[in-house]
Amino acid sequence: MESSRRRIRLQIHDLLNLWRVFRANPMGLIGLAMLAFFVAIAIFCPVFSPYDPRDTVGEFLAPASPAHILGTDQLGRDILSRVLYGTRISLLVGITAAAISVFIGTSIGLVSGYFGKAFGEVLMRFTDMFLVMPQLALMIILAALLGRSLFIIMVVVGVTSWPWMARIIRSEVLSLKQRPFVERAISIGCSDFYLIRKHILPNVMPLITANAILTIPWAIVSESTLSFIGLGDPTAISWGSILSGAFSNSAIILGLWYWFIPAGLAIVLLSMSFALIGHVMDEVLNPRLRKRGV
Amino acid sequence: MLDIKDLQVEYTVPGGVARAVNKANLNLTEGESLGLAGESGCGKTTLGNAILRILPEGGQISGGEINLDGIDLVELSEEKMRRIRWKEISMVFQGAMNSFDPTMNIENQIAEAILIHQRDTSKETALERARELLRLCGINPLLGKSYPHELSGGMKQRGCIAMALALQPKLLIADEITTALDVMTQAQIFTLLRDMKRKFNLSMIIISHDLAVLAKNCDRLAIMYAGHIVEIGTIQDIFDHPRHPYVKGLLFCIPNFAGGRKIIAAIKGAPPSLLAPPPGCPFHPRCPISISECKTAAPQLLSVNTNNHSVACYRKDYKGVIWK
Amino acid sequence: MNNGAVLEVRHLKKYFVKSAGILSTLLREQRKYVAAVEDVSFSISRGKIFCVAGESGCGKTTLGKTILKLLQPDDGQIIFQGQDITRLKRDSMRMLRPKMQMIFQDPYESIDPRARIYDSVAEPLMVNHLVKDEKEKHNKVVQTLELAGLTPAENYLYKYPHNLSGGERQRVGIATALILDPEFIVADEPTSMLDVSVQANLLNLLQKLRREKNLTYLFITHDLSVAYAFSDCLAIMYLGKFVEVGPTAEVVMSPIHPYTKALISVVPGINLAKNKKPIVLPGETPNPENVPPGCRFHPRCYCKEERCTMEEPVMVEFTPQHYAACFVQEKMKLKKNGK
Repeated sequence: MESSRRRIRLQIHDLLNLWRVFRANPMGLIGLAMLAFFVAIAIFCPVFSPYDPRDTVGEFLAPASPAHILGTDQLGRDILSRVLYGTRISLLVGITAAAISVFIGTSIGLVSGYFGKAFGEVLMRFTDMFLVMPQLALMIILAALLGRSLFIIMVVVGVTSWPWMARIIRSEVLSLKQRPFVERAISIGCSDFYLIRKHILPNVMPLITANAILTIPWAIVSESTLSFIGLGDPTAISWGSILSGAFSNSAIILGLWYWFIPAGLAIVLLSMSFALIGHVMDEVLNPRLRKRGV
Repeated sequence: MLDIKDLQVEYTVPGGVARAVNKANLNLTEGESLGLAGESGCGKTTLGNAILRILPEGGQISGGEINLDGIDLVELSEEKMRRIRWKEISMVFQGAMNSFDPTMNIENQIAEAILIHQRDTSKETALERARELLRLCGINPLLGKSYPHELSGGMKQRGCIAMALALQPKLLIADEITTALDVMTQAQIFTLLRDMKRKFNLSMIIISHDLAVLAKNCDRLAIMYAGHIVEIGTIQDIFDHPRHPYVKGLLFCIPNFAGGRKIIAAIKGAPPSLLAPPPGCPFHPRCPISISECKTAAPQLLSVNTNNHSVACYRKDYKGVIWK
Repeated sequence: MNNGAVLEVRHLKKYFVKSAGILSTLLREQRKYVAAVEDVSFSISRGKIFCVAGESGCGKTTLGKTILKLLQPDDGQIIFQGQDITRLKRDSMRMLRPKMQMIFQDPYESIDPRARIYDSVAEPLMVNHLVKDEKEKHNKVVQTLELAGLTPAENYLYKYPHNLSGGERQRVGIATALILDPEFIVADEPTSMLDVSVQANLLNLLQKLRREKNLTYLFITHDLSVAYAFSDCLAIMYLGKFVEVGPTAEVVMSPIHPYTKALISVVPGINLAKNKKPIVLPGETPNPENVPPGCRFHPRCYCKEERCTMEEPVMVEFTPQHYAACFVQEKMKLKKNGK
């Protein structure tokens, strides 16, 4: 139909506008560039890495040399290749775990914010329980109990980091509920679910998006931590496990910088790229909501 | 006492340069109160801010003079301007709620204003003076120890007036001071202002979008549209013999008890964007009697009688019915 | 007793509970109530504009929302077109909603900022399943937007609220209220955030719609001059109660209650002939949490007696259809009639 075609055109136009605002902020562009770099590595690492990351390809603990730019680890595996392949795990687990966390946090935040009073309070106390629990300890216990697979890591990280999102979403929903356009929607006869779907959710979306992006660095670091202390999937190549190997082989004391610095730096840079994008997204999406006519 | 010549104020915004005040000319004698009226976006608040040189980020005075007793305020350094601010000219703002620091009680804040300008005064003297000012403004001096959040909107606004009078300025600018207040509280505040004006021989510029309030409380009135002053004169002249089509239309729109019980929706359309104003007179697109001259050059403010009544319109002598 | 009245309100009460802290709940202190609307009764005939005027905090907005059942009344009755809707729950109200709509005060906040104008205006139709296909919906939306003065409607359909001016947004609000073909509209200060010239246009539109569609309005405002120009009946509200009700021209030109007299005298008018001296009341607009005993107005009244501090006056008819609640005035009237 004519109007739906027009809508699609307008939607594209809106997205282009968003992009224009995003583009104006150099921080966001830097973040985007960094992310693009890491994504390229994740996709094309078989092409870029000089060796198979799982194979013993050289002497044990060989120092940096032209054959092995970052040396080899305690099993003779090329560290550079391992760092490159590690991108995949970090991106995959980071994004999935963040998605789980955002989904749980948003659902609980929405429901407790909208349905308020007793039910909302109970949900909030439930959230507080999770907020107060030491996340690391909880992650360790769960991972130790449930086993060591990639899937479990994703679930564990997701399930322990949602309270922050739930609180933010809940307070936004509470304030949205008071706004006149919600009153209007009720006055024309909207049901609760229609209201949540059509009015509350779209207005909370900018907050969800910006915060979801900011959840990813946390998930990446959490995964790296779990792998570092040995609870990660032993067959997966993760920056955390690289660091773990470096640590247990006294790389820091021995000054084998090529072992632990690249992996550590990679964690920091990937997290930072998401953080930069997330902060700029917040700026891009929010002022439009609060803008008053000229 | 105050003489503004060809003042221009511009804002640099993402979309370009907006001329918020365009060749404004007005003057004020001692002890006189001038009302500055207009609808939202006409530039009246910008003009008030420009006099005190407190324009927000992105705003600058791009031309003209503001002469206070012979001294051009536009040319002054920030250092010298700081000495004039509050001592010679002070301002009462719209958001009384936000004018006070919530962590200090009011008498301390007023005393602070005094101490900043008169460094050799003792703290005790300053506090005494602050309490005296509060009493003058109808606030029980014992309430001086209250914090802003403990006071009602009306009382906070009185506190703001007390603070503005702390250094006995010559000129007081009141920017939409009663917009957020009830009509009864508004009456109280304006009664107070009139008393203060008499007592201290204050000159005042009262900025408001409410023409009726200005009619009651000012001697003269200037009306702005899209950054231009379109008509200026005594209250009697403006209300009984308006000359500018916009002013005539505006007076029709205002419901009042004396008029018949009908609302004449005279003026259609909306004010122009200040980023791309129409050429010539800014009002011509909405004016029923505009002629070709109106589109080419903006009309100057010209006198129409001996009583300082000036109008900026090529058709100021038109005698027919403009608005139906 | 239904005499063609669209709306009848009897002894309506709406309270808000002052939120109690844990300590007071533990100590089992009596819950404190704030009576936002206390014993209000009136009726509006078809095609009339009934105005409720008062200062902020007097309860007029709460009254409007309670009548539309956006808030649950605590006591009294609301009878809409002969049907008692006081106790109807939200589901049953949904049948009636199309007939009774609201225009909100804030043009910046009352439309969903993330929805296009087309969707906002079409929403009432969608929610109530009143249109069968896209074409019908489109036509109805265009028709209603043009009725609200937004022509050509095509220019506005796919814009967002922040692309429109305050006056245009308020027209969208009016369109949203009109699209269900209501018979009764509660307008809550629809023009107080708009410029004077825009206000005049909008009020003109509302009057035109009243004539063309035989609408009935409950108009809430704090601006007495607008009330004077726009309404047929006027009620002055103070601290949750009506202090005076009557035909607008009479209430404004011959006010009875001391509060009404004071209010009318301080409204600045642009007619320069000064007839009455303004009565500036002392003190502040009171807080509904601290209702004084006896007549609610007595602390600020300039002609009170002993009785006023102890008993609450009731509405008494002074001239046909013109009521006021004041002991002192009542006494004067009786004295005059006694002659």
